[in-house]
Amino acid sequence: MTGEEVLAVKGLHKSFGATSVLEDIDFSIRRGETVCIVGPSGSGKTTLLRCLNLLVQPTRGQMYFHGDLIGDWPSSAKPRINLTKYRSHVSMVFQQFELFPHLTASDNVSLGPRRVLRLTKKQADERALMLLDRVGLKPFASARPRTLSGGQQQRVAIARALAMSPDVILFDEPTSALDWEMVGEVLDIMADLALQGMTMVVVTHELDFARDCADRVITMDRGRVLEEGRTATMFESPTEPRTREILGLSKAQSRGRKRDQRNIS
Amino acid sequence: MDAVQSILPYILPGVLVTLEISVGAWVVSAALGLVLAVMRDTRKPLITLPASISVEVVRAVPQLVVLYIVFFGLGTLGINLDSLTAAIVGLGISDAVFTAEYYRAGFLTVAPKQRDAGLSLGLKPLQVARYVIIPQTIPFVVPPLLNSFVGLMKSATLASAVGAPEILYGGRNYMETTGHVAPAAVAIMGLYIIATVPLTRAVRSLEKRVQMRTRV
Ligand SMILES: Nc1ncnc2c1ncn2[C@@H]1O[C@H](COP(=O)(O)OP(=O)(O)O)[C@@H](O)[C@H]1O
Ligand SMILES: [Mg+2]
Repeated sequence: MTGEEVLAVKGLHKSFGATSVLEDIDFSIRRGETVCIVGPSGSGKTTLLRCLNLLVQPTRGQMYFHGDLIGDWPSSAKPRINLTKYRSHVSMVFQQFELFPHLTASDNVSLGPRRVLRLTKKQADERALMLLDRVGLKPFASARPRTLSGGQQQRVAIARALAMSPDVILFDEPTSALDWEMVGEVLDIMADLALQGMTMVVVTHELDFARDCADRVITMDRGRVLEEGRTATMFESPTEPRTREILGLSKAQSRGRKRDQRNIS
Repeated sequence: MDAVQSILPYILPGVLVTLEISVGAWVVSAALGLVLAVMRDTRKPLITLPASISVEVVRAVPQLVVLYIVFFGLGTLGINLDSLTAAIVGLGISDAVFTAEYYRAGFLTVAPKQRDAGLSLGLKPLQVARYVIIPQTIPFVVPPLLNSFVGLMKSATLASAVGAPEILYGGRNYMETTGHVAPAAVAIMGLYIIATVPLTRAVRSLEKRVQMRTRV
């Protein structure tokens, strides 16, 4: 069901000054896969995604895109790839949406296609409308972000990411900033994308989403990968006790807390 | 009334020149200030350093001296600007170092994550500035830019020092020709009050509106 490797890092380290934030991360994702990354706050999940999108440069490690070595730190001071072009293939969805407040929903979505992919205004607008329709927001095409609900804003942000026809989309806790009643509408769209074979890395605390939609799950703690494996294995027979805690499987947590979340949507 | 009638032919042509100087210098200042602010915002030492140094230097030098350098200094290098152009360029450069700060303060109002969002689409850094950051700073930058226009209308009187025939230049001609001082002083003061007071007030109410909008 999944294809060749899209993106991989080997032995990735990242420090900010003297603070080491990521240590010895190996990570890869194949075409069509959905990989969920779960871990406590401060464990380095956002920093990992920012490294994957080269918004920050790793301190050490190698990075591969479609099997080609695109960076080898620290020896390559700069990645061996056109940064802007690379980023246009790797889209990002942020925790706080980060829509451009001065642009309409439609212009948020069409900005990349127009200025990066160099589509004509007409083509870019058509693409934006098509994608807003896909996330159920066609009627809001000319609305400003601040007039939309959080869930709607995040759906526009997903449309903006899709508009680049990316090879992979990185989601950084896409529902953490949302009121609970809006979580479902965003997760439903992401679940659809997963079904349709989009390649996705999803940092999330929504364990039911991970269980239902991920092909693989990675647990992280204190800048390291704790454990990774196929979703069923990770939820049914993880080897690390800490993974059990993070995935809400330890006895104290399993007493009834969880099941209710997803059923609401 | 006679005094007013006799003074107008001296001063009215000057009004036009003063406007030309202040509008011209304002455009130079707004454009150059933006360039300097964007340069300083790149965080690349090779680009930020020249910008920071020129800002510090120009800021340290009185406007009149900058004006002299542009008019007389460039002349010795064989670049001869007429007094009007020299006034526009000189006052524009002097003012640009302040305009650059207004833009920079404006950039700071935009969350760093917005830049990430632009970059992650594959926009180049200058495209992020143009399509993402700068448009968001406009409400914050317009009021100080308008204030700087008021300032330039006043600074335009310095242009008489290099012989640009603005208001003060006309007024002085009148004084020298007629020997009367008071009518010229009153007329010039009056013209400045008429021009600047309403504008300053309009800017103040605009600033209040911007503050209101950012609070919600
Ligand atoms: N730009 C930065 N400079 C210094 N420290 C940072 C920076 N970005 C993140 N960190 C630190 O790295 C650690 C991991 O942060 P982050 O990647 O945001 O974790 P998570 O997304 O898992 O909550 C935190 O301790 C944070 O303070
Ligand atoms: Mg995070």
